[in-house]
Amino acid sequence: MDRRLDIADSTDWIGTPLAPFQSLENALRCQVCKDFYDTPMITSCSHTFCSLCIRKALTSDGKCPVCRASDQASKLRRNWAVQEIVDAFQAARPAALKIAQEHGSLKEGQEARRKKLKRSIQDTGPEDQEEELSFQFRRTRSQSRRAAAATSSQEVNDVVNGEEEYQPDDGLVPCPICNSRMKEEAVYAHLDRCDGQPSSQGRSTRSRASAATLKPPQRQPYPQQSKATTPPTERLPQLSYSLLKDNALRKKLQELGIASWGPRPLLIRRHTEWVNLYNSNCDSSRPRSKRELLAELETWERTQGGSAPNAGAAPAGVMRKEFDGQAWARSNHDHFEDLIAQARKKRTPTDATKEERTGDQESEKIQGSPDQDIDDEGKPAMINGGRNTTPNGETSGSRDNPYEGNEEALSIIRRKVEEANHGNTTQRSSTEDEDVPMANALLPSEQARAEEMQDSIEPLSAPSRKSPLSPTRKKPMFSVPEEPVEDYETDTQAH
Amino acid sequence: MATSVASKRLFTEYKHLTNDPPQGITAGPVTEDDIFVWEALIEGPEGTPFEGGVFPAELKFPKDYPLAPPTMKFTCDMWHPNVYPNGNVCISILHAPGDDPNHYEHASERWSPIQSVEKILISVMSMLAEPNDESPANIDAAKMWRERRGEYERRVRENVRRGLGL
Amino acid sequence: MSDQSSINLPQIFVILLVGFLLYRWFFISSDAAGSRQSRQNGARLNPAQVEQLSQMFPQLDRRQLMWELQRNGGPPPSFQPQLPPLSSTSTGARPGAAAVKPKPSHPDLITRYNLSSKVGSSAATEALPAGASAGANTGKKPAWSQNKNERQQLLQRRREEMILAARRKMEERDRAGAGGTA
Repeated sequence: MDRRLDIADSTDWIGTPLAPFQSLENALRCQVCKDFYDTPMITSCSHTFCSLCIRKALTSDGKCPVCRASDQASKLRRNWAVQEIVDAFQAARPAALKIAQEHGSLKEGQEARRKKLKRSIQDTGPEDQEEELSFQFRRTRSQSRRAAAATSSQEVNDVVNGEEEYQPDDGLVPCPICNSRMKEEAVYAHLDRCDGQPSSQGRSTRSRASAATLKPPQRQPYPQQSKATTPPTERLPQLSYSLLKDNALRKKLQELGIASWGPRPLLIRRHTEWVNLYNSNCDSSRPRSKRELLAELETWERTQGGSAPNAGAAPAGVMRKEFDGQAWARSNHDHFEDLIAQARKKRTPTDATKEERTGDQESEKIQGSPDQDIDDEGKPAMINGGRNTTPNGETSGSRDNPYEGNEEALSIIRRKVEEANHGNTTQRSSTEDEDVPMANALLPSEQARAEEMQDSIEPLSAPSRKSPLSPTRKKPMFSVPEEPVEDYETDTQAH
Repeated sequence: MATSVASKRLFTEYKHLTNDPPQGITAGPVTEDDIFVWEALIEGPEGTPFEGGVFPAELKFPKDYPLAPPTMKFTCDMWHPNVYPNGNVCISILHAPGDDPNHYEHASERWSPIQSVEKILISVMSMLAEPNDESPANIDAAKMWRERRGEYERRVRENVRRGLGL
Repeated sequence: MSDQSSINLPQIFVILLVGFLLYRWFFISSDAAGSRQSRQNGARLNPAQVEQLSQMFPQLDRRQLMWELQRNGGPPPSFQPQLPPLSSTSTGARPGAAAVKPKPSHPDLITRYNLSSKVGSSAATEALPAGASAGANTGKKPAWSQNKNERQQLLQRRREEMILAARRKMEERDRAGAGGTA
């Protein structure tokens, strides 16, 4: 939660003397995630996005989000220049923003100072300025996710030459002692005889010199890749899922070390997500460990994957611990509204018996109760679990529950519950044709009205009352599911 | 709650819209505990019967936002050819290129991950000014708009005033 | 002797089995002990019920449903927990199918945001634009706050201001119109 609070945005510049920086910053942000470019990739149509963003977009519809030209993930190329610009800007940003805001709050319109400030930011200005910059830089670096992996980076930053990190080929890793680059598997053998001398065959002296003289903050290397986080070398191929059988697919997932439960569509989505995560990590100049990626996948699982509310649309997802009930309820809100509206409509007094009849038959069909007609109209409408025996809403219970007399509504809802119990997602098939776009009908302010309706409707709905309220009816409705009961208290509190 | 890509982006957009709101638009999450449901207020564009009105709408974002578009629903009386009687807004920017309920919209006007809440709301504003006659969501309103413009405008103005409690 | 000390295969198996059972026993018993409290409720308050109810009444949150369930000691007699006032975003009461003529089905903004007090008093109408213009004067000072609650309030205020401003404008226009015709 707290992490959200310091989300930087281009609007931070508004109101400061550096307002034009807003457009500069906007240009350095990915149009998909609206964040600074993270491992920018350029498409064949020359648009740049974060690696992960464009990969996800391409897997979802295969088109460039900006110009909608078809493209493929395999055609993406890294855009190192943008990466460096973004890094430099991000490093300079806090300091610049701070100065700009202070300046703005102090006094308006000291043009000279502002110019000086601008210059100092753009081309590594005076000494003190520079110091502040790098200080700021370190602060934010350590806040940032990437550096969080190794907080010791600051010391390392000062010692190690960073050029290596910008090697486009991920196949090589630097020796932690001498920094010479070699194949991953060769590192251990090399370590045994490494003398610790910085390798002469390292980067060209030119780039080294330039790095030293320019010394923009981001040129300082990212934390050394520990052995655990050696950059993955090979990108994962996309699978042609249609050719794979379920079991083969499951096996593939297992081979990749990711969860392999769930129905086939979920498997496919999970695999796609993983491939995107993994490949974008391959693109990155500071790859994360597989464990971090797995954690990311877990997040995905919780928000969009199998554990997500509307993923399976099945109680399977519903019963999971991380299930987001509110979202689920919300996503089905309209549906429920429709159902309720239909139920209401059926028992509106203005609808004559004819309609009532069809409605009754319908609900009876569903409940499988013997065909009864409305001839037992006069029957006292009692029931409702024996809780409220007076029909006309005088008991306290009926004030709370204006719908209890409304068997129509209840029967539909019950059916829904039934379906939920059986994991059936095709609801309201029989009532579909009556689907009128109506807003929800349940409002406490309408309780009086509801009661009045209830009175008038009581006799009509009598016949359908028997079956649903018999004990045999009740049981399956709230039968305990197969899954173990989870601790809901704590679960919802966490929300 | 894990901060997913979607919620982070929504938060960024929220901040952006707060600090730099377009003319006549106020939008933000109903509560920050659930960043996936927003409420927006849109001013009626000037020079239209909607002028002077303020129209509340609810935006619901999918979990894979911005890959998929949000849905938008006016929570006031809205008599407009492109707004369903229940308030749902039918506008091309809210449709992904894949699903094309009407088969008429140009792909360029469709949802794309680079779109944003701001752009949606601005599009809706311009939709208020210029209904799209080709894809009526509310047939009656479309008919009225086409054939009895005076009545249409009167009715819209009435809604505007009622919305403001007058 | 050596025969005795060395462990043969079945023994290993038995030990493993016993170990596993022990582990399991501990695990389960501790689990049970830990959640005994909740399990007592759980008998009546099982997630399936909550789930079903929350599906049926999406406008209610889970806590309320659980409370309802608990209070009624089981599935509520009529699946109709006491409805709280619907949140401002949900649609208002649509009259039943009987309503052929379109009626105001949504509460107007003034009622929805409880602005009636601010609309009436002229003092408020004077104060508000002053505040608004003051906000504008401070040079488009970003309305963002680091504090979540403050942010929420700011947003709320901006909404209210927008509505009130529109209402004022409309009233002025009315007055002007009335003056023009009169």
